[in-house]
Amino acid sequence: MSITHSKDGYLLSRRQVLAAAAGGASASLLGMTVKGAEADPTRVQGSAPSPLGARSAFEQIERKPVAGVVSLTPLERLEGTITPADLHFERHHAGVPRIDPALHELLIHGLVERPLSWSVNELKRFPSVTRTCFIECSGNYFPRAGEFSPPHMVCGLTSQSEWTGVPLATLLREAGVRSRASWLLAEGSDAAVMSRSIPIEKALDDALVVYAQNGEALRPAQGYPLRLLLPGWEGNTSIKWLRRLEATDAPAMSREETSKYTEPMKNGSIRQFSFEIEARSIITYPAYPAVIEPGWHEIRGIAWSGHGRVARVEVSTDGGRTWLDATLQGPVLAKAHTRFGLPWKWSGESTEILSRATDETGYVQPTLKQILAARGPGSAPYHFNPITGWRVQRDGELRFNPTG
Amino acid sequence: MPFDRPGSLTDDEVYAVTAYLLYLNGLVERSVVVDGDTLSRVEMPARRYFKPASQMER
Repeated sequence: MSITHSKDGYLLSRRQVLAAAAGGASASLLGMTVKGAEADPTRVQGSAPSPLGARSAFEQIERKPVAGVVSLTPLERLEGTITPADLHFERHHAGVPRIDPALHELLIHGLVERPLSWSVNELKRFPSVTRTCFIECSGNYFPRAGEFSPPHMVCGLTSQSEWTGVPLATLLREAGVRSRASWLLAEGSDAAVMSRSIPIEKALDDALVVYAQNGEALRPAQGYPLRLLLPGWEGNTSIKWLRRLEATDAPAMSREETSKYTEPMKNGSIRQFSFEIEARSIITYPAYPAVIEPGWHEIRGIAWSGHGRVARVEVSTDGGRTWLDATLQGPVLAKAHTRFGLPWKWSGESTEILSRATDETGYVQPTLKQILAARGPGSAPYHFNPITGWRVQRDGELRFNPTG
Repeated sequence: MPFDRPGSLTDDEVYAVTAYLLYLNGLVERSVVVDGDTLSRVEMPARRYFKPASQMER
């Protein structure tokens, strides 16, 4: 059977092309293949196996870059809890470096018995750990378009992956960290030489040095070939392109823990080392820009907490007057995005839908008013995790409502 | 530093730029020579306001 390539790479047999031409259907058949589909896929040989998978031509999905500073995960386009690696949000302080893994090393020094360095391949010889958790940027509340803000604009700086690497505790044991070491300075190999001070307790608890994401090597924007992973903590502490860990007896007071990533409070103090991500949830469907019909829908969204498991997500479909428990999809993992859902029959009348997360420590996601009352406005957008509402209009259109 | 040519300044140039910025903001006298020793003795004005989150209410 002879094979011919159509313009978009689909394979058509000569017999099929001739048959289509004989039937006077060549124009419509070729027109359909250009769009990526056959008029009748049972009558056309499918495409051959290929070295690399691709999304359907009908699925246009991408991150949303903003001002050359971040790119946001399109939360409203995702299902389940894993973020495809090429849609993981990006935040870096001097661009994504290009690093040859054969030349990259991780150094541990300072208050240790034995300063050591490892190549990437040497790190892979240690017993590995794989865990699923979210990474959320400390500043993740930017509904810049007001009521026309989709979920990704409200909080698209959170993503979730399955990460694989070495427990940092293993590496610290190898180096023999001294008893008076209370902090680790973690440093990246990017042009910002991004650095943060990490309490030794976290390093010995659940910190990982990871080299894989969703089953393959890290993406360059996520720290290739090595990054620190501090589950549940604000994203910038999970230093990407990790090259150095220095054990010290005090925090370094780097730019990213003094001038940045600190929160002025209304009482005049400045909150520092606010590492944990507090519980949060957002309804991702229905949400702007979705347009819905009256009848049954499943209200869906994600909830997460840097303190542990999500214990409960409540949903209100009447503007916060009454709340119902949503179903949490298991397994509910600690420090991980958790999918929730609640069937809902929309009457066609205007209303507002909201979600509210509670984590296993008993912490309840606050309203924007409560956050502002407790802290004042100076800390925005750092650690802003307000209840998010979506107004449902009578025409079926949704609008963001921050007041909750 | 600078942003578009990272790492291109010498150590002395970095100290010089730092000294100039500190002077402009009234944190060091015009005559102070900023180096590894004198720089660590400059107290930044926000320092006394910092409070670890672990000592604050959630």
